Amino acid sequence: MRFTRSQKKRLFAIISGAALFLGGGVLSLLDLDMAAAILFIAAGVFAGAMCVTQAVRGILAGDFFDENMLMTIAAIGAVLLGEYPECAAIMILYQVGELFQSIAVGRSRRAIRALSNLYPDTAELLDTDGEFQTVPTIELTEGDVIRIAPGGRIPTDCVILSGNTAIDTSPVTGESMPRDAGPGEIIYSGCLNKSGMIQAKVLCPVQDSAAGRIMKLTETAGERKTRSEAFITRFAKIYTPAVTGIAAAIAFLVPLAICLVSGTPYGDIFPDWGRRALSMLVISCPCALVISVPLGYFCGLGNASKNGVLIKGSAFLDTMAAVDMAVFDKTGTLTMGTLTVENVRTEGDMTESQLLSLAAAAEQYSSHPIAKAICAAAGSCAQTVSVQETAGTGVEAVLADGRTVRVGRPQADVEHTTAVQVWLDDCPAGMILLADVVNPTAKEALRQLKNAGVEQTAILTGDNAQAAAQVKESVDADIVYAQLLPEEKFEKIEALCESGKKLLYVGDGINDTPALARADIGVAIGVLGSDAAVDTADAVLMDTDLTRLAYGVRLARKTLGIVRSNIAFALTAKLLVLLLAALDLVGMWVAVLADVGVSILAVSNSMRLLRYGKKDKKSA
Amino acid sequence: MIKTFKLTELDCPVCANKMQEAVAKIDGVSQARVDFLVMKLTIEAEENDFPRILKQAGKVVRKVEPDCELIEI
Repeated sequence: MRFTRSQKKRLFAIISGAALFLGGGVLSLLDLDMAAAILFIAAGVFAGAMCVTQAVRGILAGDFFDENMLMTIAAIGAVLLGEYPECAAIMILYQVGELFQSIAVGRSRRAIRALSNLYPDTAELLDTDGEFQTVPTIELTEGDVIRIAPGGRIPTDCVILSGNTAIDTSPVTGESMPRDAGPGEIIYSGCLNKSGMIQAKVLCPVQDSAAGRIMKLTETAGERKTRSEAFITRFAKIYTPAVTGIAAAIAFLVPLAICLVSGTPYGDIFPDWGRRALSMLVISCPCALVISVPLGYFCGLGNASKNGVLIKGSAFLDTMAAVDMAVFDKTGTLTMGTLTVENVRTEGDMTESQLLSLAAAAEQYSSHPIAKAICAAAGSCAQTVSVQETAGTGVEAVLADGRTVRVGRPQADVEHTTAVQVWLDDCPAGMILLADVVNPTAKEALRQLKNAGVEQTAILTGDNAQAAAQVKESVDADIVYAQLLPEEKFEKIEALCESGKKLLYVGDGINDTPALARADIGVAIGVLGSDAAVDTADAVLMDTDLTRLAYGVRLARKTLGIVRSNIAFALTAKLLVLLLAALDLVGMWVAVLADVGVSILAVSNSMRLLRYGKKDKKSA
Repeated sequence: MIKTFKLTELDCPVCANKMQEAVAKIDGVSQARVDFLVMKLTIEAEENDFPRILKQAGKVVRKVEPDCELIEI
C-alpha cells in the first residue's frame, strides 16, 4: 500500500511514540520513575507534535474547538496531573485513529477514481501539414481529425473516418461484449479501441462527450447534503464547546463548591476532579460521528458508481432508501425500444424463411426500425433488380427473376401493434408481425425491487392498453397506466407523488423529462441516453440492465441503516463513557480507548459499504 | 468565471468544510466549493482577480491542512 505524505508523518509519529512509550514502560517496571516519566512525555511529544501544531493553527485561525484542541488540552492536563503514560497514550491512540480514517478515505476515493478519469489526457491531432501531433484532449474541437491507436482510449465522442476495429464500451456502458466499428460509426469517449488503428472526426469537445458527462455526474455528487450530514455538522458545532464547558466546570467549579461547603483545601480535591474532566474531554471528541457519517454516504456512492448506478448526491441515497413505489416508462425502459419479428404468417405453400427473405429484399435499404427487424430476422435476402419506395404504401422491389414484391401496411385491421403485409405479384403472400422486445432484465429487476421493500411497481406508457398489458404480464408489474400523452405522464406522476408515496420514476428521457424531474427520485437509463434526461435525473443507470436499479435501492437502504446505526452507537457509547468519567468510575485510559475504539468501529462499519454487494451477487 | 483546482492530501471532511468557508471569505470570490470526495476546489470569481485569489487560496488551504497543495487543472 502507498501512503500519502501526511499518512507517512502519522505513521512515523505512531511508531516513534510507541517505541518511546515501551521504553518508558520498561523503565517504570525497573522503578526508575523519573526516567520513565521523561520517556513518556517524549512519547507524547513525538506522537502528538502534529496534533498540537494543528491545534495551535486552529487557535490562530480563531477556531478553538476542534478535536486537535481537545486532545492537546487532555494531554497537557495529564502531564500537569502527573499522569505521564496517559499523556503518551492519548496522543498515540489518537494518531492511530486518524491514520485509520485517512486510509479508509483513501480507499473509498480510489473506488471513485476509476470513474473520474475516463478519458485520456492527450490525443493525436491531425494538423494542417498532415502530421499527427499530441495535444491535450481538452483542446479538441468539433471537426478535428484525430488518430486512435489500438489499445488507446477514445478521447472524445467522434465518428470513424477510416479503419475498422472493435470497441470495448465497458468503461462507459458496463456492457462487456466488444462492438465492431467501421467508417461512419460513432464511438464514445472513454471506450477502448481494441484492435485497429482508426482515424476519426471529433463530434464535440470532451466536456460534452459521454465520459465528460459521467465525470460531471460523479463530481457534483458532493453538492447535495443529506439531513444526517447537516445534523452532524450542526451537532459538532454546539457539542464540542458544550462538552468543553461542562468539563471546565467539573474541573474548576465543582472542587470550588466542595471547598466552600466542606472547607477541604482546594488543592487536595482539584486533581481528582481535573482528571475526571480530562477523561470527559477525551471521550467527547466527536470525530467518530464527524467522519463516519459522511464517509458512510461517500462509500455508498462509491459502491453505486462502481456497480453502474451513478447517483448525483448523498441526499438521493436517502430518498432512494425510502422509495415505496417504482414507476417505469415502457418503451425504451422496460422494453428495449427495438422491434423484432415475433410471428410470420404465410399464405399457400410459402415457408416462413422464404417470406422473410422476400420482404428483406424490399426492405434492405430502409433504415426504418421495422425494416431493420425484418432484415435481421431474414439473414439473407432475395436478389433484386430495383427497389422503389412508394410514398405512403410501402416499398416495392423487382426481383432478379422478374417477380415484384411489395411490403406495406396491412389492408385489414390486424389485432396487433405492428404488422406488415407482403404481396408477391400483387397477391397477398403473408404477414409479418413484430413486437418490441421486453428488456430481459426487467422481470428480475422488478422482483428484486419488491424483495428490497418497494411495495408497488407500475408502468406508464403512451401505447395502447393491449400492448401495455402484454408487457405488464411479462414483467410482472402491479399496475399499468396506458394511452397517456406525454403531459399526462407528468400529471400521473404528480398525482401519485401527491398521494404521499415516495416515488421512483425510471425513464429513457425521450419525452418524459418533466416526469423525471417531478418524481421524488428520477432515474435515467443509459449514460449515452438523451442529454436532457441525464441532466434532469437524480440518478443514472450506466446501461439498460435494470437489476442495477434494484441493487441501487438495496444499497441505499444498507447505507442509511449503517449511517443510522453509527450515529446511535457513537452517541450512546460516548454519553455512557462521559457519564462514567464524570462519576470517576472509569479513568483516562478507558476514555482514550473508548474514543479511538468508537471511531474505528464506526469507520469500519461505514467502510463495509465499499464491499457491499460483492458476496450477495450470487444469491440476489 | 469558474475554475477548478485539485487539492492534494485532503484527509478530513471537517478540514474540507473549513477550507470552503475560508476560501469563500477571500475578497472577490463569489462562490467557493471544496469537494472532499473528489479532492477538488471550485472557485467562482472575476477572471482578472484569479492570480491574486489563487495565491491567497493556497495560503488559506495550507493554514487548515499544512500538506495540502493547490494544483491547477
